[in-house]
Amino acid sequence: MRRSWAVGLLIISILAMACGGAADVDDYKAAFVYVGPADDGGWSQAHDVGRQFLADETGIETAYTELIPEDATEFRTVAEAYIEQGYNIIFGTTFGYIDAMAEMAEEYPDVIFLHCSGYLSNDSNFGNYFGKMYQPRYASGMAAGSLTETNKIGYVAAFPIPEVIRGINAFATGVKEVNPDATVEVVWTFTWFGPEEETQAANALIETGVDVLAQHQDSPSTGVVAEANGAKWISYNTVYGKEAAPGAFVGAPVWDWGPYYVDVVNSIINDEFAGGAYWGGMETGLVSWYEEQGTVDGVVSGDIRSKVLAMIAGEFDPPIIEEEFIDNVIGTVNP
Amino acid sequence: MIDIQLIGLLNATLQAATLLFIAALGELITEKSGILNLGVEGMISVGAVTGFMTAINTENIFFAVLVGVLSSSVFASIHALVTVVLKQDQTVSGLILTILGLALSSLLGKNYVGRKLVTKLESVTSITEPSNIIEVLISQNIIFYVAIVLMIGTSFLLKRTMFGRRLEAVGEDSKSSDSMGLKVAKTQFIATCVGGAFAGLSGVYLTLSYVPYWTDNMTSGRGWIALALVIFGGWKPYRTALGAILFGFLEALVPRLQTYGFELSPYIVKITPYVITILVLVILTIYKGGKTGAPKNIGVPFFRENR
Repeated sequence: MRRSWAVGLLIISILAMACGGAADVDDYKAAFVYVGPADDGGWSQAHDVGRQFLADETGIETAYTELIPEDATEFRTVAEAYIEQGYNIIFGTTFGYIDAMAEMAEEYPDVIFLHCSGYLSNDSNFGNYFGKMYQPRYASGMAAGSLTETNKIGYVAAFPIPEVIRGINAFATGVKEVNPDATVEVVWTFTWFGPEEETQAANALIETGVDVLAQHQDSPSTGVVAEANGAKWISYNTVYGKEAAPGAFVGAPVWDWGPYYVDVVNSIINDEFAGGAYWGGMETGLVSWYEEQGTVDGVVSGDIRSKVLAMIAGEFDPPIIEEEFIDNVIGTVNP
Repeated sequence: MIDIQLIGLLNATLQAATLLFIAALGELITEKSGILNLGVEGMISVGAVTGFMTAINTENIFFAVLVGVLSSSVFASIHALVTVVLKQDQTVSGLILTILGLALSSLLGKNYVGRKLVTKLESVTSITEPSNIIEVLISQNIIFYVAIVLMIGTSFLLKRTMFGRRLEAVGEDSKSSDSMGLKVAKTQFIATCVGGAFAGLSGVYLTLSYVPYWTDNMTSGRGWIALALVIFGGWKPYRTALGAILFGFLEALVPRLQTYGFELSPYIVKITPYVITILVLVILTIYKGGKTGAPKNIGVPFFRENR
């Protein structure tokens, strides 16, 4: 008697699974792995805001682990723990997880792996995603070009890699658009996050006479130096850094991962996901230019807005140059 | 324009050197007693975050410095407890102190990330834009002059006072010192806490003046350079100060070489402090028969019963 009950239950549950067909959100759980603290006011916080947006919009269960170094074993330990707990979508939000994610995607074909800023993918369960940050950087360059009085702009940059170089060139193209006489001087810090190195670099630029500072770094050091020296500051990543230097803050090219996270999770739920690469521009909302009201001259601000609209409409795209600096940039791509 | 840049280089050198020197000087005192404390990175972080939190909440800068120094000293007493009282491995305990200090400072500073400091440690004179070397030297932050006083004081303490002699005796030969009636454990305990206090001062200098805000992992490796500096300085205060200026100069040079348009790779400049430290060790080993200046008993726990 008892056995027939069990068999009956089994049949019913198999039927339920078969008839269920389209999965729903409760079948999925998404886990995020961050390289920095979830509230770092920069890169990782931008992803965490995206995670919360995803949870609110779709109702999917999410979790995150912060401060996981860019190390294959470290990432694997965390990701495997999540998989054991039934998480079947894993977001790795820093470049260094790339090899671990590629390997695990083969080992766990039922788990979806999404890697931010990488270049590897497959056509089933492994995709990479990134944004065209050079687009808002172009807009920020226009703001910087209009603000400089010495015609010298400083740029504190992390590493001489294509992503950073194309950002600098787009920025300098934007500067040139509004101010052909201004130059952009670049100093490399060789670290994504180094409060002291960034401070030293920003000071070195101030000493050359720059009065506007921009950055491709994850700490607000550059802003603090700008404020102490009466210069203006273009931040990066999020707008949270502005608290550290409210007097210098002009705006920031910012990330907004939320809409992408919602789209990609919906495509997974609807069984439309097929790996591959995603590179979203301003039209997706993934990247945008945040401008603090009243910091940029009204006419220039209007010009920036029309360029932004042109980029959103796909009528304009700043040139992508990653091999060398354009002519109004002082510095070397080969330090 | 080049004058402004040279002045800037000098200024930045002194700032970077001050941070490294104070922490290294504290470690020097600790190591003189025969205790190796690898927790400098953690101790600087604890001082940096507690000092910053106090400055935000009380807006009283001297109280903030005091809190930073004391909390780092109390934090260092964990190392003293583990190594001096419980006689455990100094290397392991020091590494744990670094990991613990970094984690603790992240936890404590969670709500202080990116907040703007209203009161900072200011320069002692009103010169904001020094135009020559003299003006640079007299317009530094107050902690810079405190560091000079500490340097002279520590050198005097080690060479000319009874406490300095005892400290050295304990670090060189704790068993004989014990036989002579010196209080080995007490001396080592005090030396470790003093080292922590110095690291704390270095930390408050970081967050209240040099890089005036708080974020995770503020120290980003400065504690380790301070440790290398002690070796470079041969456990002598003045030579350590010289080393701090050299290391600080190299740190200030990395971004500035680029703005000067020199064709020297910043990568090479970045590794120089470590290369120099290794070279100094090698040279001392070859020419002085291994007399690097290290206290003989360093890292060796003292068991009275094993005498």
